[in-house]
Amino acid sequence: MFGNNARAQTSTATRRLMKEYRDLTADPLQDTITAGPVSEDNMLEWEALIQGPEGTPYVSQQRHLTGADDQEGGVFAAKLVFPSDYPLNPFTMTFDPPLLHPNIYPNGVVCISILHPPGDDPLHYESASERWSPVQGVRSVLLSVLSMLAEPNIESGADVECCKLFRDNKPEFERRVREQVKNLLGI
Amino acid sequence: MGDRHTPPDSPLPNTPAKKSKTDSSTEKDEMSTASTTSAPHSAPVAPPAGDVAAAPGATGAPTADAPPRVIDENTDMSTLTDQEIMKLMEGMDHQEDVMNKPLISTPVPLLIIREEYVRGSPQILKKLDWLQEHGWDQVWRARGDGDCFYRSFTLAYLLRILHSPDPALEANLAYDAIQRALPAMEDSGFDKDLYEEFLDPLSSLIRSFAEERETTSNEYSIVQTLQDAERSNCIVVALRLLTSSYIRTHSSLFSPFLLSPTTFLPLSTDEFCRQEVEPCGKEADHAQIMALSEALSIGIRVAYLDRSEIGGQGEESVINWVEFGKDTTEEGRPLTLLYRPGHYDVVTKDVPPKIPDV
Repeated sequence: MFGNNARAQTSTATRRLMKEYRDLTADPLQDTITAGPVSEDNMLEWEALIQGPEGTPYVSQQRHLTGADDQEGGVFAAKLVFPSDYPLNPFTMTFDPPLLHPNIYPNGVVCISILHPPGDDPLHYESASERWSPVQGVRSVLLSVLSMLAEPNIESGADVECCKLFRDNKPEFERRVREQVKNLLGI
Repeated sequence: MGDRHTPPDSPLPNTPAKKSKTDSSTEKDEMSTASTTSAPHSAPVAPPAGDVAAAPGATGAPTADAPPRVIDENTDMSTLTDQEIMKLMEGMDHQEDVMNKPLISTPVPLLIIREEYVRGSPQILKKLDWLQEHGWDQVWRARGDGDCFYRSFTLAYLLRILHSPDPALEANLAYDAIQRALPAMEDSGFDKDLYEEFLDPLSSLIRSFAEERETTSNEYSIVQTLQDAERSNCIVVALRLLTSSYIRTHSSLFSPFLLSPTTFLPLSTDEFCRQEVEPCGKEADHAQIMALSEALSIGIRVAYLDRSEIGGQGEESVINWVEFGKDTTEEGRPLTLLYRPGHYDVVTKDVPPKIPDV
């Protein structure tokens, strides 16, 4: 009866993700972020590589350590997992390995308002922050993550210990981030 | 009943009664308080056991074995005990009950809604009786998930086509109205592929009416379609985008009325649309209803079931119909919704109106 309408949920999501992937390839996000499906067979799982923004501890401090004038920044890998009803619901983003940041849970899951499912408000913050809507996409979320890395929001933190550290002892916070970045890069 | 639950041996100085809007951490604190006060259950010592027995009495709650009373829209808030408030607050966090309900229901008699108010406000009962007397005896309940206005709108919109004297013509008019609204989507910067994808389920439903396909053109199949999460939510998103694009392209008209529902501070058009219109689960208020009504050139009449006392002798004044759009006369066959604070349902007359009864 509904044969012509019964589209598999994944196909809507897949079609949308194909398009997003095409758009991201045609018009890359600055050159600090790349993102795409892990394998062509499964559009619902992507990997993103994000370069730490300038002027933050997430940029590797290699040149200070080696004395060489090497500007290579920290590059962080994150897994994006899309639900079958994407884009009605947002995807999840997990830094693997986890990144020390007030808005990233110790298990690596990114906690920003734009990635919260509709109607879900785990942190009880008021609506002033941007929420997920199907108008959003990988591009707008990754840009939000980039600005989150540059400006942590400790009002609605995910990693409470890290929030405290950021608030009370920023130099120590930055030192630990740099140390982590160093380890990630295997220096 | 009115006794506030303040156990004399409460380990925390703050009384839970003060809690109206607490953050999750305080709530957890109070949960642990609750568990510590119940701890004496296991204690073999006599005096604490006595305290335990006294505690439920002080709250006015029935004995431990009795089932908790039913709390609904009708319950007087001042009679709520702290345990009940806490339970309600927990419910708010999980919303599992709400999420298990169908997205939209088959029609129920208005009397069922009346049943919920039997012990409640006489003003509301008066309004419900007025609706009943005037033939508005069917309610199609939308799930209370924040999308209820858009879902109720969809149902009422489709029923309007179905029950019109010439469904095929009406369907074509509806289809044209949607097409006319598309340039605003384009102007608002929405991706064509994006909105077409979301509009598709609505458009194909309307097309099926235009082609007078018997199998799909009946009340049952409309409800069935709107109960299917994927198509139903797609339509909600499509209507949200239509609403948003109308507000965006008529910014000067709407901007004085675009306020944050939580802070009541003015929002820019873009902020309002991104925060209050486009995300699913965000309630619609006057601005959104007005915009959607204008975007699709359809009249909407909303029967307000609030406690306001509407004076006057005239019958029409018993219930407050808030009207949106150009033609809200009976001949214009506006959509009719039932509003209870924070929630929209569809209210219809069992027999489609042919002769105006005013």
